[in-house]
Amino acid sequence: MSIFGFGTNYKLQINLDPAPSNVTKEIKHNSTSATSDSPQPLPNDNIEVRTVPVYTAEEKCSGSVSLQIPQGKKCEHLGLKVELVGRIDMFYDRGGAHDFISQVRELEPPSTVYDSKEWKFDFDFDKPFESYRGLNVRVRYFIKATLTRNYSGSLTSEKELCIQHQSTEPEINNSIKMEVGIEDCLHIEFEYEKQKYSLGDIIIGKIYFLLVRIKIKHMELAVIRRESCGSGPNLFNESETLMKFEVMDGAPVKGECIPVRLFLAGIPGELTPTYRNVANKFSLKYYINLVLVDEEDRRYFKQQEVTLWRKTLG
Amino acid sequence: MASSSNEEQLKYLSEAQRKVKEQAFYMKRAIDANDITLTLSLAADMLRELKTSLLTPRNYYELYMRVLDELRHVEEFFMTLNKAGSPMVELYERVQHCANVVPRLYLLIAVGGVYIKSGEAPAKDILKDLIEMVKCVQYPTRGLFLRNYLSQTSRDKLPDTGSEYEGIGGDVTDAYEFVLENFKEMNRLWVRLQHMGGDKSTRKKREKERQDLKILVGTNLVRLSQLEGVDAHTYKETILPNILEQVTLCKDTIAQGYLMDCIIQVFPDEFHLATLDIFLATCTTLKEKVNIRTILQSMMNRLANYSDGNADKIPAELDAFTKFNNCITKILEERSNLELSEILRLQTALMTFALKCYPGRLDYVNYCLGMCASVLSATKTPELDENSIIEIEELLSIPLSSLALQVLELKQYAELLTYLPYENRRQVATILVRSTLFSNGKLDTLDKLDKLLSSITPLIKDEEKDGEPPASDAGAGGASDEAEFVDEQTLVARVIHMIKSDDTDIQFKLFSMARKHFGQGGVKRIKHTLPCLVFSGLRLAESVKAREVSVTKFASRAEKAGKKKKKQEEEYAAACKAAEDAATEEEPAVMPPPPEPIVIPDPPPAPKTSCRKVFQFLHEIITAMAVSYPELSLKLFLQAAITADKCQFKAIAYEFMSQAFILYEDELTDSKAQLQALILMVGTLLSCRNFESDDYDSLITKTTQYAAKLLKKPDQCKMVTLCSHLFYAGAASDPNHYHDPKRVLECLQKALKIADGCMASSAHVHLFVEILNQYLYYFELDNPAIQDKYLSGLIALINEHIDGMDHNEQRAEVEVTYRNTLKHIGRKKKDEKTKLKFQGINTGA
Repeated sequence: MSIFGFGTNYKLQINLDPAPSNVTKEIKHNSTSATSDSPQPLPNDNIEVRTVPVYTAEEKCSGSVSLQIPQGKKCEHLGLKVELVGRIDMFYDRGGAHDFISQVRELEPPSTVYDSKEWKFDFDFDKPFESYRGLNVRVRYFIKATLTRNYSGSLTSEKELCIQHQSTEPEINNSIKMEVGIEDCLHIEFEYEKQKYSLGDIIIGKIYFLLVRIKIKHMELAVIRRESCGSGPNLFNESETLMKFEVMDGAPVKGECIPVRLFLAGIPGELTPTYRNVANKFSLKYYINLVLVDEEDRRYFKQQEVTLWRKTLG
Repeated sequence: MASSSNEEQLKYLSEAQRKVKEQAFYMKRAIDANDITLTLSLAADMLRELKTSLLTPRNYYELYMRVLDELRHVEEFFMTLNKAGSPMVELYERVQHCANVVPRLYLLIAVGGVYIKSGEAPAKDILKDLIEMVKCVQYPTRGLFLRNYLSQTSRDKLPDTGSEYEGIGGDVTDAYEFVLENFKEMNRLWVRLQHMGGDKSTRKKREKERQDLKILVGTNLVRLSQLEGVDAHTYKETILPNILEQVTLCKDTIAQGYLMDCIIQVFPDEFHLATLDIFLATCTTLKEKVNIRTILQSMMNRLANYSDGNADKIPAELDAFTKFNNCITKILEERSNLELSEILRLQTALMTFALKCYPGRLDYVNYCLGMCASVLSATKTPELDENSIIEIEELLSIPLSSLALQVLELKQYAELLTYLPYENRRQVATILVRSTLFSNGKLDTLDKLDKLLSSITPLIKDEEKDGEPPASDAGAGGASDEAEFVDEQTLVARVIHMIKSDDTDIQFKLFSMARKHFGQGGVKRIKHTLPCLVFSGLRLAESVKAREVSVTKFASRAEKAGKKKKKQEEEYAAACKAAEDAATEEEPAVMPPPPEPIVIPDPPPAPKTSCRKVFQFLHEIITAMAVSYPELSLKLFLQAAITADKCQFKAIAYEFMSQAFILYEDELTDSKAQLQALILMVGTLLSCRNFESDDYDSLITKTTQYAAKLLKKPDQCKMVTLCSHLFYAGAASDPNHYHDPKRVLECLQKALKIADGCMASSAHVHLFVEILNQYLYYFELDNPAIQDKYLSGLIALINEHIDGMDHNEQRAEVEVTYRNTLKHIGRKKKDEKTKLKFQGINTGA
């Protein structure tokens, strides 16, 4: 298939070797923005699901580029190159893209090819960021092959990759413990077993009610993701409540201890690890917000940051 | 809080039920399609209806039951999934993704149940997790129902001893800890309901709602009692202390009362016996408004029923009575505002307990009565309230059924009686007599009788009011009162029959005492009580007589024996003399052996009260009644006469007879009564066979005169006929017989004459036939004055008159009798033996 109206017979194609982990991931794509050069925010139509291989930061990604030439034809070109690009697309402000990686491999100097041919390539270097699709920003990795021709335009082909950073159990993982309250009104102590959670983890905790003078209706935990882009005056914060999880119904009495158990796996949508600083462009943090609602619908809350990390690919 | 009208409630309820039905419909479709995700989400939607706060507990229960019905399908679905091989742990995690706490926990419990059943994890771990998680519902009503679902689901999955989950799944400790924990939390939620919003005005309503919910809390105690592995030791060391701790800590009146009662009802008696101390200790710490009395009472009842009169079942070293008593004492000390009736009720309960568990311990009963007495004497108000009166009455009546007469030995009993008003004392007295009768009590000492009669004073005499003399004819109320009065007096009369002493002297003294008491009863009472005394007295007279006779007989025997002895002694002396005389120098005297000594036994004691004295006593009694009840007294005199006659007291018998005659003359004016009395008099005279001939003569002459002076002619005729027998008393062989054939004929002829005068009433034929029969009777007895010609004449007369009678029932009756009489004569005529004698009678046939 060709994306151009003519020269249909020439086909340039990237074939990736299976990723070492052999993990793949389905990514929803808008078919109208199939190329790397159209970094517009994606409207929700024409969604196409593509399966992409998943690589860790260090894993080599290899594959081949094949050129198919119809029988009896030849192809004169000015060179074939393949490049791996890591790009941050910004949708906020005036937008813009920032390539933090751009590795190029010259596969063929300018020449004439008479027969269908295949060129192997591999890229073996660290990929510093995870693939990410957020509200105002996204991180993408893709491999692009370009066959430059003089007159009839270039032939290109593109393949997206998914990069995920796999971590090991953090060595230091203290619990979160805190006493909060409003004087003579509400006094609670909460405790979450740890501060750092893998994506499939369970948030386990306890809430002790030391003083209850308000009529509590219920209590919930909200999982919030905050995406911060830019810096200084151009800082854009976008908070998103991923889930509201009711942990208590009714009003406890003094001395009550309410258990908390929240399965991160049960959160709709996709969790990612916490990104502290992605190329000075953005950061992504997760918070759990403990909210107490009283009978007059007043809300009392305390927000705590939790760090998420990735244990397994997928 | 739900605070809406009934209509609104029903609207909320039906709307919620409609939604449940709808979600359940889709949910079941999802189950059929084996779509786990969809099923869970729809089940959660359905369960979300249980989040409502709008419904009253009662309506919430309706909704809950509906939801639970549908939830069964989900449980079944989980089972199916499990059987198909999907591990439960995944499902257990998955249902916890649900963001709402109420549906999440219902689903968790539903999966948890299947999880335990699958055996994929130890039961105890799952139970622990569930009991921890359900804490998340703190809203009282929702929490209670959620925990009830947990309790229901886990019921058959506890790792109890002998259960299939025991072992890896845990042991009975895990089982009861789980139930205890659930109980604790449910109780707390239930108590909290009391304090939820609202002011005083809604308190009543809240309390009612709480009452509706209490069974949910109590169910946990039932579960505990159903655990096989819980023995008395565990109960004592762990389970009860835990429950009681909750009871004490919750400081809630409704909960304390209900839970204490629950404990008593659900756990076995042996457990209660083992833990009486701690149970009672807790009782004293309960809130003041808790009705401690009902709690102690039901515990005591429970143990009493267990012991069931068998003192061995309650270990002696337990000393349950003292324990209960100490507890009650402490409560009385601490609760100064306890109502008098409540105090009395407590003591009543304690006494009932003592009676049932320690049947022999009168001191216990006496102690309880004493407590009441001292409480009563300490009260300042002179007038007791109605409840207290009822309570005292109850208190005094209860020991009666088991102790009967023994209560008279209780010092405090009589004292307590005095606190009661007359009416109530009367009730107690009735029960006392009844139970004494029922227990076949024996009144054999003066002391006993005196105590009994003093205790039943209200039955014996009217209430003595200050300043006014006792009304002699009080106690007469309406018809029902009258019947009650008669019943009571009959009871009192029956007391006489319980007087039973082997010694006639004591018996007489007892009767005299009874007489003294009864004498105060007034005219209305003696009618019922004294006759009974008279009859008993008559019986006594006979036994005294028998005793006297035996003494006399003995005296004559002793005299004979004495003579015999004397003779023997003389003979012996003579023999000795002879032997001495016959002795020579060579042959020393050989003394004859002494004869067997004749022992003269001691005479039996002669009665101190002579028979004569008894009759005198009776004479007095009857005379006392004579004025008010002449008819009755007349009968009694006649009865006394018969007995006196039997005892060979001719003069006394004559006296009694003459008293009866005087009564007849002076007091009996009613012709019917006269007729009745006359019949009795004739009968009496005929049964007395020991009169002096002159006495008898005058008595029968008098009787016959009375008969002839009756008002109605037919009565005259019948009585005169009857009197004819007086002149022909006793068979010819009887030495005391009295035969005056001429007078017999005179009587019969007189009767005929009278009958003839009855022509107008056409009763004459009937009378003729009767007289004919009398003629026939004497004729057969060979009365020389009665000749066959009289019979023939009479028959002719009857034949003549009978045709003139109207054809009616009366005639038919007469004809039958007459025909039978003639038949009898006919038979006699044919009989070889009597043929000759009867030949002369002309039957006109």
